[in-house]
Amino acid sequence: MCPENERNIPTRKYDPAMRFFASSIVGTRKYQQDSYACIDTPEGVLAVVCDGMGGLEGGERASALAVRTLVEDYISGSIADIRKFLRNEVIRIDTMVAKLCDDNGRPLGAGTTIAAVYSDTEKGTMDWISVGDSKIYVIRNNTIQCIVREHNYRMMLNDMYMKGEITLEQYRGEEHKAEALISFLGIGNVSLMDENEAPIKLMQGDIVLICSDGLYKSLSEQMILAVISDNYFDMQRAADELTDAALRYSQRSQDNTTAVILQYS
Amino acid sequence: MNVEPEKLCISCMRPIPAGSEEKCPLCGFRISSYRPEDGQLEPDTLFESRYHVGAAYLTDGMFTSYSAYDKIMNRRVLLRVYSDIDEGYERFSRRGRFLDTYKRLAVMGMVSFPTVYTCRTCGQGAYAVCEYVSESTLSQEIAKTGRMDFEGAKSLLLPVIVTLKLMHDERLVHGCVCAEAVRRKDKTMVLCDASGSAGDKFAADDVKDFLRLLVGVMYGSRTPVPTEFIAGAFSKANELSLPPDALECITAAFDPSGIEITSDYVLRKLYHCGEIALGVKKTPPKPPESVLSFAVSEGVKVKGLITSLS
Repeated sequence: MCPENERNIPTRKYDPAMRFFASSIVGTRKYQQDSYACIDTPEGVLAVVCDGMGGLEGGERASALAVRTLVEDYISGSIADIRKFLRNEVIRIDTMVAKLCDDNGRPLGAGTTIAAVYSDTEKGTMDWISVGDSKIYVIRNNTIQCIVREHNYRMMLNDMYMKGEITLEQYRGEEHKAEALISFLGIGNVSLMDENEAPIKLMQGDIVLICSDGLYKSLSEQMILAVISDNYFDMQRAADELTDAALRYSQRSQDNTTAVILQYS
Repeated sequence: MNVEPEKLCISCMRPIPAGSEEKCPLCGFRISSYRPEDGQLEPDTLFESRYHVGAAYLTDGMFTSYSAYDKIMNRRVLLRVYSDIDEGYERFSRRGRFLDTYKRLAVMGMVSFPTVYTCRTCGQGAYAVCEYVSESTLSQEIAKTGRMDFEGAKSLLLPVIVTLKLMHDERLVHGCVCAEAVRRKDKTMVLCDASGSAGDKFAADDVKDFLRLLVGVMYGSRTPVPTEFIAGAFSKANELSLPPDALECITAAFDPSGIEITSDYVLRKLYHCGEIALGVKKTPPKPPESVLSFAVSEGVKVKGLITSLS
């Protein structure tokens, strides 16, 4: 081939992009205690979902504080090591939430979960951290995989049962408390958290879903996958459809539900 | 223990008790007498490993609509399957147009069209899955009500012409306007089962089909009224005592030498409405100023931000 012609072949630079979409509903609850944010900066995309807990407005304040703090620290900090940054943020926000007080100066006793994902768009990698029972799913090639654990009493029970520390009867006797969280921000000395050991390499077409428990307690993984693949051409619609479906399929009352979708293309 | 899977009625797709395989006790459909036509999917087959297929209720060339049940989402759906046996290259563009029509219908989210859940390719064909509306079609309504006056028919079919107008504004063609494609949804009738321009039809064909439907409803006829009839003696004698505007509109639509009648023109002439209320379009919430101004103060360029924070 003639080198002259080779030079004339137009080349197109492939610009990977991480687009994000969100939908959040109150469900049948009085207050919206879920908070979320997705921010796209030249360095990458940070997405976070927090599910607050605590009476009256405590949960709402806790989750909003967590999201705002993480976003502002992300904006203001020069981040050399994103995993270290996320871990430090979790510890810092845990202390801040634990110190939240009401108007009379009494401790609010509020808490919040956190599930955060950072994607370096140029490198096509993803880092994440999670405390509590909000979840992060990766959807690739029409399969769905949850990459975090639910930090609740069930996890502890399962662990103890597997190690033979408790019997099946004891397990069943404790099961009514299984949903109680054993780790969350606001606990004061958070130590149980899930994070990646090495950045996950993203592939074109990958979808990352971050959600509060309102979503996965109403919809099976198969349903979540079906909604996302059904709406692949319109991920905002997928996010809306997920929260709508959660409300529609909930057996009893529906918790606050938030779905944040990141689409790598 | 083996549990027998629930048997569904192939028309209304609701579970039926054992022993009622002859006739559905819920919708009255004669299950045992249903025979699919050549090329149609057999009832009770699992389409794409997900959709339990029921009876076909509308066939239009390469398009067939079925009642179906989505086994993953556990809901009844309308399944529109496009199967092209043509070996030519044209089939790919037809399939593309069909999928494009449904994708755009999904995004438009019209209240007068069933929600489009998904559309996909399937072998050399394609399919679209929509919200299940009801068993009750316009055809059945006509069978019950018989003849109807102009005002009644006009008001019954208003959502249909509105849907067509909105589709035509988006340069989409429905391609299959008939009594079987119009179903009751709550208190109104909605148009279902689009074929798109994949059926090699044009917007003007939709308008003609709509006017045929309108005249058909007035006559109490479930089958499409032939063009010759509308263009001939009926319009001259004004058998249905149509108002002058309506008569002019219908006559002009079927006049081979006349102008092309649009859905917009029909709405203005028949319904005297020039503008259609499209509803309030969702506008994305503005990012909170506090976060943005913070980013500016830190000298960080924010390319995009969505958040629940106020």
